Amino acid sequence: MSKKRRKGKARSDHRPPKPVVTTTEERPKRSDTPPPLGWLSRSGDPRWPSIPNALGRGFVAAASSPIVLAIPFLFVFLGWIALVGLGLEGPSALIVDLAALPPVGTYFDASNGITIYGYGLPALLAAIGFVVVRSLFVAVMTGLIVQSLEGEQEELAGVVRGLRAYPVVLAVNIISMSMMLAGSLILPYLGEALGSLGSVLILVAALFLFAFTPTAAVREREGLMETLRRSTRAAMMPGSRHAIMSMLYIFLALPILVAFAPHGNELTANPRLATWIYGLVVTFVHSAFLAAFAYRWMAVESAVPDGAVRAGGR
Amino acid sequence: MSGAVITGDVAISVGKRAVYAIDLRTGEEAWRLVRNGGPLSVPAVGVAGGRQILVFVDEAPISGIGLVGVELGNRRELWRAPLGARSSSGVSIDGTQVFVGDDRGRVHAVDLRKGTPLWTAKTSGEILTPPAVSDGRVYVVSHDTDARQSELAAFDESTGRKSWPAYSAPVAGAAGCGAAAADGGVVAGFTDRYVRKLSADGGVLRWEELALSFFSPANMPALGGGDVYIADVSGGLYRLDGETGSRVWDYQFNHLVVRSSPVVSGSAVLLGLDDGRMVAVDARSGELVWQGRPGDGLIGAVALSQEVVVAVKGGRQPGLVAFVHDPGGTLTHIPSPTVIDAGALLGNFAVALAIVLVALLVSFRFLAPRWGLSHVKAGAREGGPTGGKGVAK
Repeated sequence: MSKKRRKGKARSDHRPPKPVVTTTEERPKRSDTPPPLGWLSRSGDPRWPSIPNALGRGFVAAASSPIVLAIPFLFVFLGWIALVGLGLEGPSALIVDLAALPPVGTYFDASNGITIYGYGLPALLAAIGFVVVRSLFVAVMTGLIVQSLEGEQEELAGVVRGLRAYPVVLAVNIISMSMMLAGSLILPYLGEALGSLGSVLILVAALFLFAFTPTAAVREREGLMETLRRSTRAAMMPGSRHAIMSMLYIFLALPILVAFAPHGNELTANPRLATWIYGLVVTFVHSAFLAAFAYRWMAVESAVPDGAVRAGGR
Repeated sequence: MSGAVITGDVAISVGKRAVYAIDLRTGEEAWRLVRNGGPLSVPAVGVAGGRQILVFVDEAPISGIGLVGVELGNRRELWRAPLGARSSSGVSIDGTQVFVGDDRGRVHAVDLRKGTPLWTAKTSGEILTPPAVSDGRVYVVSHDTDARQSELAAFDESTGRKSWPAYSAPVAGAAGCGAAAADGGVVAGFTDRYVRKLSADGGVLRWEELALSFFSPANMPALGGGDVYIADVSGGLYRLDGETGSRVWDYQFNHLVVRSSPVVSGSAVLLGLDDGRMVAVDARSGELVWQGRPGDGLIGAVALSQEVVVAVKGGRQPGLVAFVHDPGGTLTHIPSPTVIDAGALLGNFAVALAIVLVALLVSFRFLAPRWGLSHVKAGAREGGPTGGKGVAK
């Protein structure tokens, strides 16, 4: 075990005990070899729960208690009132992605900042403010969902665990926003079509790299760099199908779910009943994806390699 | 048909093959002038040498596209002034000077009496709205779609010399609206969604205010009582303080406004929407006070007379439509949908929350035992996660 891994002894009680299947060195040889077709391969790494399985568990975890269900709904409602109070006049479809996972949620934070304050420093400051609040929401929700996935009933403990992970979640969301900002400065030079494709790819890349970070931060209580290192290594593990799941979420959350919002194009401060119902159901879907990513991380966290991962099917 | 100009008891509008004068009281055709063709652009009427002269754009087979001056009294053609390029901007008249922009970005100044060219100036792209004239200057917004740029340029009214360097928004795009000018300033909506007021002398930025959406290049702001009224393309109507630019109110109609500019009529601001409604917003409160019925075509440019409001109508039966005051009607006071209605907001959310919470809790209480428990321990039993806390137990 490397020096850094020995640091793990100081981790919290929530750090999982010695795993059944442990490090890459102890794994069977077959696992070290990436599937021949990469992420097109039909057979993924069996240690990773399949996407439908993870999503099914995510849905169950997101509906595991009234509090886990209600917190995102209240976040959406209060977030909507706050944005309208700040001067946002936007389509009511915005509520659909108010509780979206970063970087989709972060993308909306940036665009809401621009809608309210126009291009410039005030918009950037507003976007950072929105990200600070969103990170708190993501951290608390991750704590609650991890608690639920661990079979624990104490919700307050989940909130506390989430709050402890807040600095890491905030830092990662700021990194995501910086990636998008850098993209928005560079991508226009590639032309309209390539630029749009590039901005979607940045979102996919940010989700791909950082999807496990909140859960890793809650479970392992490491510093930012170690959490990032481990969660990105997990993302890069061969046979994970993590890239497909990241793309699935981005394409669901960005164009598809928003497009089907009833009366979603209406500029209003008072969304209709149908819009709210749809918005809350989609908010539940976001929570389920958060739980699904958490579930997948928990499934393989003990098998995340200490060294750099070779390129292969993801 | 083009937007109308009202003079006397007729509304004059340019059609494909004729210029029509419509009686304001009856809506019947009072007279018509044969026209060869060309883009439909708003005509203008001026007075020179005691004669009322109508000026419009016509595309003659031999002389090509140009301005035509017609004496309204006897409807005799006085002159033709070739432009050399298509013009869809519409015509402006100030005193005895006629101004028009063309699709190649040139501004033409022509003498109203004889049609002789006075000067021509160049801008960066096509001009789609009538030049605004005030304080001895002519203001033009041009759009270069290839370079994705729109800019506001000012020219000396008598010489055509550029008054100051053209102003363009810091963000690329050609979706700015036309300009309106008065009292030492010029106002336009720019491609970055900002409405800006520049000083007439020097083009110095006085203020800027953000709108919700872009501006249609076919629309213009209106000035009234020292304030600015402007509509964005997604149906937002804004009243901005003329001194500071701060938003006094805005009303979101949730319907496109592509070919209609706001018009101030007494205490109301009129606007045509693409869903066929003519709407009036109280200039003081920003509340909707009356609205027409939606129709099958848009309501375009609006013109005012003492008794009637005349607007261009699109759809299956395009033409002009006139609105008169209904003494039996009552005014509404409907706030913009973007103003929080606490009852509706809270009520809709509460009902939605109850429905969704109950539906999800009940259905997952039923489904969870079939799908298996959510937590890792259960997952491990089913060949799922192996490293979780549940496994250690």
